Amino acid sequence: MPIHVTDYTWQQTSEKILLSLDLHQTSPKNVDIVTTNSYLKVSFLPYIFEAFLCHMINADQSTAQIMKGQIKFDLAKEDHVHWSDLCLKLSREEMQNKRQEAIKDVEEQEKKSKSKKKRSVIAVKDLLSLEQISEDDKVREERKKLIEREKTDFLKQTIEDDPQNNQTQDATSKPDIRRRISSMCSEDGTAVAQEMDYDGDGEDSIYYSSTENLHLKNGNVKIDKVDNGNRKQRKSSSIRKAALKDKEEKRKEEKKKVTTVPPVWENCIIKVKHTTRVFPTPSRESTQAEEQQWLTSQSVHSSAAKDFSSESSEEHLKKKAISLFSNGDYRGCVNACTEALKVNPCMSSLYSNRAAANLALNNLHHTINDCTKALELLTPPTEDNSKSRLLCHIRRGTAFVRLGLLSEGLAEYQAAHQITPENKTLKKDVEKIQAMITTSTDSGDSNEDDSGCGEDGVSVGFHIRTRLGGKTSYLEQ
Amino acid sequence: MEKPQILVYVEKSLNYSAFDVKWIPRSAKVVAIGSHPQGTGALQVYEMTEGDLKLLHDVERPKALKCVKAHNEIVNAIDGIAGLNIGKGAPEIATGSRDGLVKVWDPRQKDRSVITIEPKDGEQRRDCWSVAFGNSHSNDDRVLCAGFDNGDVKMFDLRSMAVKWETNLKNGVCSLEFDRKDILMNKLLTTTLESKFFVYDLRTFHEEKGFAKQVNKGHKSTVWCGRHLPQNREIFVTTGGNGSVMLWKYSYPDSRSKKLDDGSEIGVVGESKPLQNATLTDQPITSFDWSPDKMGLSVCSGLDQAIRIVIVTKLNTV
Repeated sequence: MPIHVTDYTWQQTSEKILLSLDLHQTSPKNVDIVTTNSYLKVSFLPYIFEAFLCHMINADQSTAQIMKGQIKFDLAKEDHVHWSDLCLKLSREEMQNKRQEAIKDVEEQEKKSKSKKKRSVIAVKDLLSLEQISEDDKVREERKKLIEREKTDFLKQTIEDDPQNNQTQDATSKPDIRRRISSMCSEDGTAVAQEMDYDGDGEDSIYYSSTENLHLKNGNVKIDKVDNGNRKQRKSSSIRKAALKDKEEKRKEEKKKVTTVPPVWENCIIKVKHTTRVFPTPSRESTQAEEQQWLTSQSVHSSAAKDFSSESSEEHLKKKAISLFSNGDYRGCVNACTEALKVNPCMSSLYSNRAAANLALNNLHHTINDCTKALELLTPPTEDNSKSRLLCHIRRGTAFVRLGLLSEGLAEYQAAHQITPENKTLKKDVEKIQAMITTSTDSGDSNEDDSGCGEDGVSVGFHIRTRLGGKTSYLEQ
Repeated sequence: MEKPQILVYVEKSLNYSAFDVKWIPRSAKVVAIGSHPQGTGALQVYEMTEGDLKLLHDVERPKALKCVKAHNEIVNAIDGIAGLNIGKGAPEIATGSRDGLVKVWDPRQKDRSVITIEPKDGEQRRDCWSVAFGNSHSNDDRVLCAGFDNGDVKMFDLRSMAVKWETNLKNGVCSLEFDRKDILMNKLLTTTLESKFFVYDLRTFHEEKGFAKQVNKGHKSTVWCGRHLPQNREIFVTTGGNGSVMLWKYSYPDSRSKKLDDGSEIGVVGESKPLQNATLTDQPITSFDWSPDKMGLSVCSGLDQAIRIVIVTKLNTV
């Protein structure tokens, strides 16, 4: 509980209240003052001084001073009334109320002051930006004006530039341009095309526009402009005069001549050769690298493709194989089929043909293998590949029979028969083989040796061979 | 504001794309040709009055306006010389087309071209993008330059009917212009793709090396067109694919030719200095024409379907 201080002294004038308190050796840092316009509180712990003022004061205009261990208040009276007493004597409750009121007041005041500050800050900012905008506007306006002035000046010059006022042009032109008069053209409008002085020593060049001829009405002298920057030497005036004279003479001569227009060209053709460019698009430096890359990759591919050239060589080999077979070169046919298979290992016809060749060579095991592979490739069995399958079965059957594997052979022929039930020869073959089986089993000669088939078997094999020879010699194209 | 300024005086929006604009000499009129979006050809004549362009004449045709079937494909470039008794020699028109041919026409022979320039038999054809006449300083002399899309620039001497000089600039050649058509050939301005343009000094021809050239970069985009000021041939303007217009000034070197070790002479080229740069629009400016009557007055058109009258100030102080 802070200790209330009551030892204070006060005086008053008509406008002020002078109040002094003893700070009891508290440093000024620890002094805290709260004022509203009817309440005053000074807290300097552990002491506190509280005054509920009788009348209103103007807190903004009041001051407080701390010196020599005392605090002196200079309170400005709101109304110039004589105060009978400084503080009101109030009950506890009243005092509480007043304190709360005072606190509220203080808070409100603080809020107000803050918002005031904010507003002032914003106002300053706005002001600055407005100034900036107006400055920018000014600059823009000025620039616009300059541009407009340039345009109008330019257009005004039209009147002054009138080629008829040749002489007055000097007056209107800017002083720093050196001008030179030279006679340039003739009446009929053909320009003196040859340049007068240009020889690379930085001398003045006469430039002339053929279109300017249009302006000339009476072959007056035309004022030329001269290139400012490049002059290093100047031909002496005497030489120039002489040159001018020559020109005058030439002009006179030309006037006398009737200018003839050359005749029409006689359907001439000039042949050209362009720099080669593969692409139809226009040439650009930025795409050169990409294009080169593309071209090199294309060439690599094309060279690779030559070695590969799958389809063409495969067919070629197949045809070769067939021709070799028909010529009787079965070995060659086998080789050709093998080569072709290297290129395309999935072609059943190649296997089938090789099987036929092998059969002709009596390479029965190879025949069986080839037929098996061909049949594998010919799964699923359909109408389309029935022919192929038929051939394979027959060949395999023949091979089996020759090997003496009669039952397997029978199975093959039966399968073949199933494919083409209407084929009578096949049916007969089937029956024959069946007969062979029964006879071989009867004779007890269940010898499954290749060669050992019994005379009958061999003859049958031969028989079958010759019988079916016609068929097996039919190679798949 | 001491430098020359490039200022737009009037801007006129069109309802078609103008491919080319030209001044009608001795007047304040311009001709614009182009094509409407529906494919019909357009030709309009405008006059400058009271700060605006007034349409005087409007022609629309279902197809291109043509008098004679010149080429099999689109005519990309056209140039004329010696018409109306200006200059020397026969009046002629040169056309360059996408079919790779360059043809020269004489108005006296209306149905066929008088000169045809074509690739050798079996050789590749390239689009011709630009043509320019020059060196027409006498009745007989004349030179025609053609620029192609593969970067070839070929100069044909029409007196000897042969290829005088050829070179390749690696970028498609958008426009060619001699600084003057009717004098002994002096300079050639060549503008190409990839923001480059070349100035050739044509006074000294070296047998092997050809003409001396100077390379310049500008606009950071295709340089569509380069045009010399009629009143001062050292000043020229280039227009770019980014809608900008640059003013340049060419200065000659101390000596225009120098001797090489083997005794031959080779030309020495000067340098071009940019004077001013202004961006007028964001679409390419494809054609530009100086007024022959008033120095600095010009008209340009671009792919933004507008034509602009542009003023270039202070050219007389340059």
